[in-house]
Amino acid sequence: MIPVTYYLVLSAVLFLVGATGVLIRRNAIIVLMGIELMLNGANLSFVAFARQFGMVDGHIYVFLVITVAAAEVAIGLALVILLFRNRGTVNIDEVRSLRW
Amino acid sequence: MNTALPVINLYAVMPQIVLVSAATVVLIVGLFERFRKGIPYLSLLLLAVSGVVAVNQLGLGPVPFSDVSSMMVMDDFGLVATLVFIAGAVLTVLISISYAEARSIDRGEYYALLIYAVSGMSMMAASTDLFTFFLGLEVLSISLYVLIGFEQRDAGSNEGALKYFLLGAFASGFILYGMALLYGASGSTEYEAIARTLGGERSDAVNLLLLGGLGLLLVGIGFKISMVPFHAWTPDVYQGAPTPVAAFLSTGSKAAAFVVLIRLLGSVFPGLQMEWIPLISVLAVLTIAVGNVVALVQTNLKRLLAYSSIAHAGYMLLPLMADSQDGSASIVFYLIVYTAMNLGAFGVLAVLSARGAPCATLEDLAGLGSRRPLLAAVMAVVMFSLAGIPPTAGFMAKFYLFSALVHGGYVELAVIGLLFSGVSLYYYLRVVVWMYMRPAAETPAEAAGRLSYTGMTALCLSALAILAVGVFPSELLQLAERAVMTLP
Amino acid sequence: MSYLPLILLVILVLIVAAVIVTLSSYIGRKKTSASKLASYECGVPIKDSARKNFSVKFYLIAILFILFDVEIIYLYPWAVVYGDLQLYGAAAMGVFFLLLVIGFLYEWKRGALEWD
Repeated sequence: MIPVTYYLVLSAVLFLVGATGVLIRRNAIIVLMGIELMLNGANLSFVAFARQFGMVDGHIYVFLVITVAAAEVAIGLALVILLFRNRGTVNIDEVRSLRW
Repeated sequence: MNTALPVINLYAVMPQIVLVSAATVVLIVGLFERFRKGIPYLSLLLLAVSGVVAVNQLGLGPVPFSDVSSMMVMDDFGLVATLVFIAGAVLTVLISISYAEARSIDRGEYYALLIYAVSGMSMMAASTDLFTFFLGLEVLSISLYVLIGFEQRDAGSNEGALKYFLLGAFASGFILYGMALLYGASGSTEYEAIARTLGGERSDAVNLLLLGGLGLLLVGIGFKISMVPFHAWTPDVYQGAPTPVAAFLSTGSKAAAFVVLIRLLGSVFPGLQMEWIPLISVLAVLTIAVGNVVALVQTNLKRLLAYSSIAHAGYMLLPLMADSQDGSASIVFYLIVYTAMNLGAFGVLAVLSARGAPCATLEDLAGLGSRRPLLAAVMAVVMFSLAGIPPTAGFMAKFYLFSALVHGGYVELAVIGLLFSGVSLYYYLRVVVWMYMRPAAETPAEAAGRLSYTGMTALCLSALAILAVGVFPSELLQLAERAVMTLP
Repeated sequence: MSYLPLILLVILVLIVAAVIVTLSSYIGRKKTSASKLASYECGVPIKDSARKNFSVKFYLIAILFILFDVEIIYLYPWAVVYGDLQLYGAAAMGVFFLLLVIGFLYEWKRGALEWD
């Protein structure tokens, strides 16, 4: 059986890849994907720990997180579409009209 | 096989159930065009009903949600917080009515989302498990993402919403990963279980998980309360959002995050005090410094209020260090006063913006004292209170906060806080100076005519409340003390 | 080393695939024509480039689909223990479905399901 540490390392890597994506990519859609990756990294940790403890609550949390992530992505995509309609771009560096 | 079903106590979550149902009713009624004018009043009625439900539960002691796990609890702390959120939402609805009509965003969804946001905040306040906290936070955040971007044709509103969404979702990722680490350390996400793990013998690995989990949680919550260095979104989002939404965002969502912070740092993580106290004290001082100093050079009022709200978040972080009932009570007191003050300040802008061009800069306020004496008086009271000048509530709030800090033995932090609070006098009083001592520009941004009755009612109410609490603070202080008494 | 057979299988598959592709590219005869070189789309003649903007309405449908699709994951755990939960579970799921139906009615009335 694969030890739980492996899953934890994988989940940390997923989380970091996602976070890096959010920080360095400028396309709003790719930033959204990075956020999803972060959430899924956390999900993997939950499942791995739940498996180690032999409990189900970790699995239930993952269900809930998936739902929350879907709602978040729906809103996020809607905002990006609105942005594209108003500005004709999804590059978040070009979106900087709010300055004093 | 027969599964033992948990005993679920629906009465314990009644305020949340009523709030969610209220929002859903508003959403459905809002679908019918002929009820359009009545939606805000229906929302006020339903908010009042949920307020009554919450008031009736006050003092009934901690009642857990279920017998197997304590996902949520009904206690005075959560109920008082819920009442503050409901009051904030009522004021927001009142100042929204004319603004929303002027911008034609007066749709059922606007008010429904506002109430959904309150239900999320209420869930956060009542949560005794990291997961219910997370769900409440998401209900709040997702409603806010839409509310900020509600002016669909407005590029600023759009941009603010996208910024808040990207950073908010990023912060949620941190919170969730932190929760996963804490779950790994203690085998549960319940506050009690985590506190138990912290109290017992800990191996190095568990220690690492706990520290990492706490750190990530603080990053995520720091985003929500706009703590330096996670504050950069605040001015942009407040500037872009519809003004009443900015008012709600600066008070409600910040208050909800602080309520959770009091529960977490006060009753779950005292065992890691050696680690978080130095960190939070440095960040709190930085937050106060950055907020107050950058606010000095702002000419856009919404940005000025954004930096002022960053500074106030810094003040409210300080008593967490004192780790005493007094400290927590002073934060609750400060939050209540802060809600009234900030809603008042943004409310003045919202009421003015409802007539013609948006009112956003200091120039727009020039000559307000002679043009609209009542509105200017409200703004002056609010500014004095934000600056902490007696006899306003803001003074009493700062007084309790800093005295709790001194009693906790953090004299130097109190001195730093007071010094920067002196700096803040400049930019708050500058607003008053512009209103009363500068002549109006040739064409005032807002057209002549009556201001909305509902908006003025809300503003006068909050100004009166600020003065009343400033003179007779003991009632409110007792409420705040009673609220924190129920914390473990 | 319980994974050894699996690794061997993977290597074997890779070798066989590589051999087949290499052999057929050397031995096979090449007759090229316009329709053979065109990118393959289910045998239907190609109409247009695949890399162009498509209607934003598809996004709306996709967003709505995601939301309702994800709710289904709550049905599976419930279905597994349906017999044990009985009326309690049915009532709880009833509330859940009521909220979903309200959401559905909302989007219907708002006109999100209409294409034009």
